[in-house]
Amino acid sequence: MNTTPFISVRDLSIGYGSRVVQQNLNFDIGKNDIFFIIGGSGCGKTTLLKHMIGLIAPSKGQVLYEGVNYYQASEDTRLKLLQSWGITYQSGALFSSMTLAENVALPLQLYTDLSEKQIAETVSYKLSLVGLAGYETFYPSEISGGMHKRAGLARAIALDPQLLFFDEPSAGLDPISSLRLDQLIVQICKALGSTVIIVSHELPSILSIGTHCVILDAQAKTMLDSGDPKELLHHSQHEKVRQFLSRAGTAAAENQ
Amino acid sequence: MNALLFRIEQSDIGNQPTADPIEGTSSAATATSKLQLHLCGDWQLGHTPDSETLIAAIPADCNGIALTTNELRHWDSSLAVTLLQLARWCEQKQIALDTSATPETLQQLLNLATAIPPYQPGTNTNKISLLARLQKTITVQGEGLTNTLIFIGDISLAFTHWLRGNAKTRTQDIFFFIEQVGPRALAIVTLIALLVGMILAYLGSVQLRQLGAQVYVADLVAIGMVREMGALMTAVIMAGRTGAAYAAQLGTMQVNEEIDALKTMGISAMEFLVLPRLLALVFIMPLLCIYADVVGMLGGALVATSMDVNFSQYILQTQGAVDLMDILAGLIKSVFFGVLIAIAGCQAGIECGRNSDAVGMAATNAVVRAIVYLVVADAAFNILYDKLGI
Repeated sequence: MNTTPFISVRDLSIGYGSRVVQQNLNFDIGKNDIFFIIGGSGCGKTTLLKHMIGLIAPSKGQVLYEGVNYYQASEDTRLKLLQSWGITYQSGALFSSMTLAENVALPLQLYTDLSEKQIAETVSYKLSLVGLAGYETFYPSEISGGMHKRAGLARAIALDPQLLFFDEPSAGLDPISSLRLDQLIVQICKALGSTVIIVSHELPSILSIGTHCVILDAQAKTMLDSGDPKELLHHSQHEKVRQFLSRAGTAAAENQ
Repeated sequence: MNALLFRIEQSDIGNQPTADPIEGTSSAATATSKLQLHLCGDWQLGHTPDSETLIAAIPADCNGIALTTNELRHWDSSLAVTLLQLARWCEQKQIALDTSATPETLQQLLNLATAIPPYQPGTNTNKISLLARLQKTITVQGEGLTNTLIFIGDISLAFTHWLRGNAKTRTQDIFFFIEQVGPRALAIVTLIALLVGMILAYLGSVQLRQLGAQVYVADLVAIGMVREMGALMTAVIMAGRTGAAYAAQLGTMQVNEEIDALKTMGISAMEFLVLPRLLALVFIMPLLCIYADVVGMLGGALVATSMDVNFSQYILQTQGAVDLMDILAGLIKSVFFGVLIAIAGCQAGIECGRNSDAVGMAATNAVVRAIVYLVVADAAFNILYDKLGI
């Protein structure tokens, strides 16, 4: 296997301004992993994600993408990295002045030289993938919250990203849509060779599709453990981790 | 470089492949036939044929297509994009599409895309006639008027509750808005009032000089500012500054479901949100108006003294020109203008839709409505004052 990990997080401290939320974060994410960032509410999961996707520069430590530090990279390298990422936000973050088709088409129009027809076909395919075929001409204000989320995903996968970030993908979705979303994540990961990073505390998802995870803790202000969630469930050295993962997660694990 | 990406063969004739290069014409198929569609090479975003090219290469009389991917090297979702279009086309033409020989991941990507049938919009998309559209426009405008009246009614109720002391209005909110609306607007009011005073003075002095009556510039500026421009200009500034801010604040609260939260707590948005904003404006407007009057007269004095009118002469002339009724006429206007700006701003905010676009629209609406209200009201006031002889 490759010696440099796909993504490596080194000595990372995260927070807003002088307020430190988490410190001493060290973990690696391998290619094609489905990596979960887990932790209780308010422990800094989303903040960590924001540091990883280039929205907040870390006060200490670094995040390396195949050895490249986003915050110290040149403008060109940054843009290349951003194009190889797909990010879905908690509420979808769709542009409200554009239809769903226009939302999904935007990255294609900006970063590829596909013809209008090919863009339209690609958009139609991506929307079908997330179960929104036929909603091309709808505006975000005309669809439901769950649909927002799925349309956001369609926009994120428009350019076949190598790296997909999800912020609480299944929060607010019914169990069936949530399961479908999990399947979709696995399929995309397999078919496109993408790596997926998910912020979540949905135990069924974590235990069924997660290949790796890091667990953050609000009191300790650092990570408790990292590894395969199915192994951590029984063999983590931290009791807190075992408790967190076994609560309501047992059924899903037994089905494996 | 652009190598062959697909090839079509007739499978049931046996070993007589009729290979077609990309975009080539297909050899005539003789009977109804089953085709083999070989996908080959690299299918990558930006380097793939669109589905029409592929579909055009398929003979019209085929009744089944089998996909093979033995020669396929790298592929991404652009292959799935094209195949989805092909699958939809096949379904329309009732041609069987066999994807069993393709990679499992590709099949899954296709299955996911076809798992949920496309949404079919309702059938009532008939064209609306011009007359019907006109009627709709009028109805919408009429509703707008009704809504405004209802809004004014609600505010009046909230106000009477407040007077009786049982409204859920927080006094600290009123003071907060007074600070926002008043002291923070002083700089811009100073600038505008000073310039308006100077403009009036210049305008007057050019005319009055012809009659040798330059000293009456003071009368013109004083009456102009006190009765008209002081109130109107501060109101226009407030409409742009405060009215738009009110609409944006309340609109964002609507988007964040804060107003829903208030309602479900049993708190009237009128009393909690609209009333403090309205009261702050009503309190501040006359003060700003008086301030603008004074600054405007100073501006006039600046111009007049530069044109051989003595400063003390100017002051004396001003004292003679303005009486209490003039000042009151301006102040009454300004109070009324304050109410109108608050109504325009808050109504636009409360009726705001639930997305970021709607907030922008609300702010625009607030300013446009406020200025229309102001000008109409100002005209009405002038007619009224004239009839009453004030």
